[in-house]
Amino acid sequence: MIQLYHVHKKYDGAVQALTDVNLKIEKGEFVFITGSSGAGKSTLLKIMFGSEVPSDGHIILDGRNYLKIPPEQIPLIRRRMGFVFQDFKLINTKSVFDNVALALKVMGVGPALIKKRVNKVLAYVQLQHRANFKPLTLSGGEQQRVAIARALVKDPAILLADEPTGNLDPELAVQVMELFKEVSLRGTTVIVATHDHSLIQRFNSRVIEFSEGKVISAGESA
Amino acid sequence: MGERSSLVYTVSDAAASIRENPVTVALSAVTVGFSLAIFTLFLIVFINISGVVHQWGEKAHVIVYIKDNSVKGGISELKANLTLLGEVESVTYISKDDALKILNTGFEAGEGLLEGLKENPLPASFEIKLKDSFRDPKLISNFAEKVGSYRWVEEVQFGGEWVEKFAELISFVKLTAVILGTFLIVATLFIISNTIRLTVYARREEIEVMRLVGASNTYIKAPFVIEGVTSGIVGGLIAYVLIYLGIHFLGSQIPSYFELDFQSTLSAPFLLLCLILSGVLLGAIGALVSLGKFLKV
Ligand SMILES: Nc1ncnc2c1ncn2[C@@H]1O[C@H](COP(=O)(O)OP(=O)(O)OP(=O)(O)O)[C@@H](O)[C@H]1O
Ligand SMILES: [Mg+2]
Repeated sequence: MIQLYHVHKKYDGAVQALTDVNLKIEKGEFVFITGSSGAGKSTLLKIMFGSEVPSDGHIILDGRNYLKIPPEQIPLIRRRMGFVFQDFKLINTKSVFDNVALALKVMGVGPALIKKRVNKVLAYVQLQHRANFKPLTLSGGEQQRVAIARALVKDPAILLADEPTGNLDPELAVQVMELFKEVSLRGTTVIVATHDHSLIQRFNSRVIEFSEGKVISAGESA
Repeated sequence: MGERSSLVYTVSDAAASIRENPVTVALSAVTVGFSLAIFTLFLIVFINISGVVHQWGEKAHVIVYIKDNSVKGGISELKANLTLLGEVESVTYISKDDALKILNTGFEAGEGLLEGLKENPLPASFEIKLKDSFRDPKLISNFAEKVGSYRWVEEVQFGGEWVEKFAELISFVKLTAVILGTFLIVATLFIISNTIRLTVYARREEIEVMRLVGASNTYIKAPFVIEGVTSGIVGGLIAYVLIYLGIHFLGSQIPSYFELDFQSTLSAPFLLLCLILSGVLLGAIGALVSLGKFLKV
């Protein structure tokens, strides 16, 4: 469960990205975060992920105050989270396989299991045939699916996806969303930031709407 | 299982990184090699020279000449008194006659140098050997001064002032060694940490991604430290080769009266071990210094 209490975020350049955000997201929920460009969606996900620190307020993650977690434990928390970054954040010098495998390697998973799970998740996102390619030789949509595969491969407790379908054609976008839905049915909390309203309409899930850093509708839990 | 896999990944990551940047590793290794070699050669020369000075000190007995007619029968009493002094190991009495005999042995038999003289002009003396711990030029000179003040003593002779001068030179060289050593270590650390810093900089995006997927600091740092340590090991080997070349060269250039013996100063395996360990230490510290500044959560 993720709880946010009076979370504010002001970036260095005095940009007020989030203002007094209060949210509660249950374990296993499937949530869309929506809002126009610059509304603060990415900022919200980054704060939940711990790569940005709120200027004020509290975040409770499974009953623990996120901001009081010692830095050396942050990696442990990240291993339980999958994040699909809006800019993918792939390592361009490593193959697709190695990029996805990295998420498991840092956890110390053995090579045999890594091979099995990476191949399986690459099949999910239809990228087996690109396993040995370097990211920069792939199309935008393919790179995005590598990022998705890397977030899913570790069976995360929480999946944070920032515009995960931005580069995908509508058909693939729906497939990816169905994959996410499946994952959430197995107990993963899925939080998807998107401004693709047709996608939101298609999936009957909770929608949290942002405008200029404020929650204007917290939606109903499905 | 997790821990062991992590270790395997760390090592294989490091190996891959070394394969990708052999120039970086080679550069650090050569740096380590040269500074260790310079310092070690200096140390070997230093150890040898102080050894030689020590030997000279050992040869330098203190000779105490006795005033003629100052003592009649009390030689054995004086000798006993000298022996009682804390610094003294043994005392040999050389009578006037002995002294003459010793002098004459230096010349053709029968053709005594002092033949014509009625009286033997050579003084009797005590030849004093000092205890090990007092065979330091400074202490010898103190001892000579003390004995020289005795009423019955004509003159005291010892190893000579130049031993003392030389010892002063040695302590100056010792200081130089410390300064040179510090300088070389700092310079080496600086170069290693900067070469590694360049690698870290080149891979900063990769490092960011690793952190985002939950890599621990140790996991991120370890390959760089292994890279540094590898440079250190290779550097130690390079130093070993350089030192042997250096000794070969120096050995043929040194005047023989110095009696320097480089080969036996340090046993080869021990030297190699020391060099590799120093290299490892330099490499690891160099890596950690550069990472400390770069890697913040
Ligand atoms: N690192 C940063 N430094 C300063 N300002 C930032 C930073 N990141 C985001 N901002 C600002 O914070 C505001 C919210 O940005 P954010 O990326 O959260 O929006 P978003 O809802 O994800 O937008 P988009 O739909 O375009 O991705 C924007 O005005 C942006 O300019
Ligand atoms: Mg965004």
